[in-house]
Amino acid sequence: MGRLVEMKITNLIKQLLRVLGISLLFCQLAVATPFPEPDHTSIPEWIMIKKLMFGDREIKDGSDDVLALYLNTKLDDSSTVPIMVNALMDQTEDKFIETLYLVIDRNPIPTAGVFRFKPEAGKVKLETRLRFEKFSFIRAIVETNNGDLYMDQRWVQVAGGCSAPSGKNANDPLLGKMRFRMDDQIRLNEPNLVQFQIKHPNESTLASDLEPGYAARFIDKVAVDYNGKSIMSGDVNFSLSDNPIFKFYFSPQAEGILSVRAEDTHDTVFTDSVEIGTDKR
Amino acid sequence: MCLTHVKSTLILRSLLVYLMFSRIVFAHDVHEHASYQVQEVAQGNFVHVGAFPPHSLENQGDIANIGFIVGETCVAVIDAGSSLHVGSMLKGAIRRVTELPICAVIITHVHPDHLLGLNAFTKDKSLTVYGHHRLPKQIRTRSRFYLESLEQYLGEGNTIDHTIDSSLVTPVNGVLSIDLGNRVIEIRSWGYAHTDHDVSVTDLKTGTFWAGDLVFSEHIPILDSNVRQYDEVLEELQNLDIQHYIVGHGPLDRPWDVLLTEQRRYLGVLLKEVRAAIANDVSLMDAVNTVGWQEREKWHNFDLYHRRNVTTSYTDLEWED
Repeated sequence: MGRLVEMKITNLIKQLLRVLGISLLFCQLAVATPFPEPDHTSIPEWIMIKKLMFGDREIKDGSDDVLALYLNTKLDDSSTVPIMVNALMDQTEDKFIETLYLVIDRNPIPTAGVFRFKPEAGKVKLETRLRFEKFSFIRAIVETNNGDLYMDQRWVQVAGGCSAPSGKNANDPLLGKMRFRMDDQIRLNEPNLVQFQIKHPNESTLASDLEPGYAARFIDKVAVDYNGKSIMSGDVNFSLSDNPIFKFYFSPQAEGILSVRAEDTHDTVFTDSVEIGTDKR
Repeated sequence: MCLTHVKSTLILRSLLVYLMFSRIVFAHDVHEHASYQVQEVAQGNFVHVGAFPPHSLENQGDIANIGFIVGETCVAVIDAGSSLHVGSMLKGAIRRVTELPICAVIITHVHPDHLLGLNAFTKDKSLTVYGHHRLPKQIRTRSRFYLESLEQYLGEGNTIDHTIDSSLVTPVNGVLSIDLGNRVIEIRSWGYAHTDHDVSVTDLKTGTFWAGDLVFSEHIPILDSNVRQYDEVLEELQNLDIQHYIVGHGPLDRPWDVLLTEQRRYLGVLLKEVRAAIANDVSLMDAVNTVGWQEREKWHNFDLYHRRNVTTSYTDLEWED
């Protein structure tokens, strides 16, 4: 019975990809075609991923009071899909979000990112940009410090984002350059938004412009410290768009130095830092 | 520039004016086969006006304006259509106009609606395929992806005969002239514009400018390159002295200067408003739904391609100093 359902869904997805392909032909645009959203619990890929990542643990629906996943419903660039995850609960010493998993069921590496947060952040948020290879659910799953799992998910109708040539140059003279962005005035002991972006092609292993035998070059680790103490870290891959971008909260208790370390699959380490002051810049 | 000698003699100019008006007389000179028509927009310059993109089951990929120029010794084809089917229909149209051999196929840029019909022509080993010097690399990096997309129509494994051999392309860097027999055409490579590898074709005899997708008519311009440099190319196009034009998509009966003015206005809106969005910390997620939406009613297929144009501009301009 379960097997039959799975086959039906696979056929459904195949049909759906056919419809989708129509819009892929022009300028690599993947235009969403209205298609009914399947039941997110019965996607065969997800059933497997869930088992591998979380075993038999229960994943509760977190959309009411734990987390909210946002993205545009109309998407037309499968290689650059901005997403935002907002925690609906505050970070406290007693209960806080420890880990955020981003899962794209049907990407070559379904786990797009695993991000670790601290109770001191005050609030959890993550904004980034993702590639989608096929019509798929994206899931944001958080794990709290007491081991509970909560999920919110969205159905995404774009495709081709991992196999489309990036057009970006791994020999870019700006490779590894970082850009920071934050509010003009940083407030101590409160959650402040900070954003950093790394100039990097973040090559997909599926990109059709890679030479045979060449190992795709993408960022696989990021770590952000404040005054030497970790405030956020992540294991990522080419499910993130080129020039990976991250926006999140941190709550500084004093002025100091925010430093970022990113590492790619060619073992290159990129570092940069920014001084955080409370004066109006 | 490429048309300086058109400017050089009044006699030639008056001849062009004559030809321009004579075209009205011969406007009924439409060659029809099944539903595939070509029209002679200037003496010896034949174009098929395709449907608006995107590719669909209804239009079968006939979504670009493609055509040919007939000299006294041979024919040059400009763009090959989205598939062997479309390329073959164009070839059929050529055969109904002339028996002269095809000596050149010019691919204006890599996009599948201009490229994938190429093999309908290349069985003839005596012809030369011309393209931008960056076209071969684009073919290598993109065509596999395009063929996979084409499989949605032709079925899995049925696109193998569409595989494009990038080594066939004779690269053009600058201006290259070809004589079709008492008719010289110029192929010109451009910088970063619609793509990073656009070429245009000019028939010097009639002053006909084949713009490829450098210019769109009524259809929203598509940005697959760099918004700042695209506008510089358009400014140059606006100053060309041309008698007739053919653009890659949309109707061909609107004034050239209007097309350029409209398109530059749109790109100007993109540039200005995307820069402002970045400066004001408007995220990409929000920018695609706010930037430039006052342009919505002015373009065909705005809803399909505008957000992508915003994304392309935003992800480029966010690295400006």
